[in-house]
Amino acid sequence: MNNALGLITTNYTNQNFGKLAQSRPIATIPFGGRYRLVDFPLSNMVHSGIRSVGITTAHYYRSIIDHLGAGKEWSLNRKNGGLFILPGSNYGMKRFEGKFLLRDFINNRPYLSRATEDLVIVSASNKIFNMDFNELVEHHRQSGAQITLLYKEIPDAHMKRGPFLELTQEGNLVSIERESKGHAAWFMDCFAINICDLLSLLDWYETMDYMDMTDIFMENITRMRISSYPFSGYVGTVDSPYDYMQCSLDLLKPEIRNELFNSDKKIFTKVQDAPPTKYLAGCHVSNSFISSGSIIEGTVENSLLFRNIRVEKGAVLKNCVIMQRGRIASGASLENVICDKFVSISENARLSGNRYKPLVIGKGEAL
Amino acid sequence: MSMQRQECVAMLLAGGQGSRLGALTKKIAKPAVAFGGKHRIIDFSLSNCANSGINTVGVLTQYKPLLLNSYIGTGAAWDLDDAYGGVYLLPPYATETGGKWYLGTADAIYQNIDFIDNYEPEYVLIISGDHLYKMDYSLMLDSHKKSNADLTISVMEVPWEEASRFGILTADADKKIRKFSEKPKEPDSNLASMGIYIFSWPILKEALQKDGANKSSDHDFGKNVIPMLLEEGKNLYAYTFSGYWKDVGTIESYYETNMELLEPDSPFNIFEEDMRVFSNSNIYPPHYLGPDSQIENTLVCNGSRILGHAKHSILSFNVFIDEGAQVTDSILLPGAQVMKGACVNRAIIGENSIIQSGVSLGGLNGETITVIGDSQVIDPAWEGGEHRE
Repeated sequence: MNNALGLITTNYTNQNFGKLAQSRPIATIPFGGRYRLVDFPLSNMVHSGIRSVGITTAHYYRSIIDHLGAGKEWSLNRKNGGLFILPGSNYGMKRFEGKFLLRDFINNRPYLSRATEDLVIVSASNKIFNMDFNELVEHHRQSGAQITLLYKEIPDAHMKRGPFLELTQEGNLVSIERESKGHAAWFMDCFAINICDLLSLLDWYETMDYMDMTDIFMENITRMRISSYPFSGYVGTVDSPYDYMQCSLDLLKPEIRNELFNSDKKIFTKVQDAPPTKYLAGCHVSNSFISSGSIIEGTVENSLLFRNIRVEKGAVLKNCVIMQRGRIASGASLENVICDKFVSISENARLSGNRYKPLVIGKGEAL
Repeated sequence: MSMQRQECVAMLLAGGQGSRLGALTKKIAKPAVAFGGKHRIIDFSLSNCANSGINTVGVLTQYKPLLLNSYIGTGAAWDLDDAYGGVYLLPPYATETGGKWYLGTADAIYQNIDFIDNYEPEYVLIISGDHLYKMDYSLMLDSHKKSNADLTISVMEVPWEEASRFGILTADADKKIRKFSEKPKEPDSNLASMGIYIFSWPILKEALQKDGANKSSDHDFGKNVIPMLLEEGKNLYAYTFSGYWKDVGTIESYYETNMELLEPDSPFNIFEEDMRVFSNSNIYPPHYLGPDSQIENTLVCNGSRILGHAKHSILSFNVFIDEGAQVTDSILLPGAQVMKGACVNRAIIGENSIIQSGVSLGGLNGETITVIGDSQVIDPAWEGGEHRE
């Protein structure tokens, strides 16, 4: 790789998620049958050749440490470089605005100042994409920019949550907006910045450590060269249960599944060694993405099942996401439902959400 | 090499070819053959070691070890990459007087006396890498210590009519072994040796040196070393194991043992969560079942894509069944592909082999099992038998 360091931020949340982000940061929301959201930025960094990755944690970081461990599955249990857990600031409440809290950078200044790399790629953990960051790094170096923001050109900005980038013809940053309409440059919550420039910003703003890095970019738009780079592949966003459902159902499309999972750039995750999934006589399964360790005897359509799920005889799942160790008893019928881990649905229960507002069943609930 | 002293070191015999498995072991050793969807056969003995608290394992390799070596790696997949132990691959090696192959099971251990001595163990566990079973060796070790034995042999009761196929032990009521007969015509016991031995190391070392010097020996534990120890009046005890154990020696038994996993009350339960069986698998995405797929009584592993029909089959990692293809009563090994409209019945399809459109493999009610080796491409012109490379 082009001599870059990685930094992933997880110290933020978002009220839209309700139960799904009650006991975990957005970064560790389970996704895609066996992954957590943080697997995507982390794997992107690793398969781009980045050998040191720091992760700033939220104050309720149990699930992050549980998932990442020493970074073995991402080949980050290294003598040279590796995974660095960087404690995020703890001020007794969850952080809703901004994903790049300055204080978390300042508190972990040694991770940056001691690095031999000259560039850091910073990414939040709520976007789903598979990308070789070398493209971004190459563009950043060639353009001579101090900061390069990654974005995706989209036609339906009113449907998405920002921020959006307003850019000059040459791709230089004019402003960062919360909302936009029609065609827009959708910020992918990811940027490259020269480490020396980042360290200068940390020094200048030391007394204003409550600010977000993107606000600081705005304040320095005339002082610094802030460029941008468009990503051409698939980008999923997970900012609400609706997004989560859309993005999950996107995985049922072969072209998106192929791009995310079947390229040489693998998405790594914690390995659990579950046995194969057993399909019994009488089951009906169609257009579904299913992980290992499950026993399926009922009907499953357009759904995603995580590990160790039981779908009993006569149970019906349509447009559902069932996380690890869900039990769906016989005769139960679920449509447009997201079940968090360890949920148990009793016999003949009927549950449904709608397309725009999926029903979310919290972790460990029994219905 | 860390040379922490160990109470018990395991020596895992993984050098055999398993020639009766035919096409399945053409390119790989028998312990590396895939089993039950997500495993390779050696997973079971390595997991047993980990689950029994044995963290030092020497793996004796000889026949086509490439896949086996890369699969075992550091042993991390079985939690055996231990600071105080570890997995060591022990292939035959050269010395100042030349080199030689392992001549038999006992010779393989004899040539690695130095490895074992490094750990100054009190006991050595000898196991095979090609058996399917879940066993806690620490219970057998307890029994070995309790009876003050020189050698403890794990045995299981087999049906009397099958006893003449095994190495049979005749023991007293206190399990002290009186007689050992290899495949006796008229067995006087139905206790069959499982090829799992715990030796007290000084006794084993002495026996190996004696056997090594004997030019007429075949250097085999069952044939030479155990009878010698019995003759010398050493303390040999049997340890009765009552769980599931199988040596899949033939294509038929490999096929049947796999298919048993599909039964609701399968005697070999790889699904239960105690004594977990670990494996070294790549991280594949979940499997996908297409809009028109039909699936029944089948095991499916991650990374697979099923667009056609699968019935009473085992589908390993990264398998592909295209639209309109039908797979029945079959085992598809990792990476196998069955293309549009092809039919596969009662067959074993080797790793990364491709069954092209228009091919129909295996009879509907035939007794024989069609076996396609690894990395083969089968087109409609194929007429069975040994396939060209």
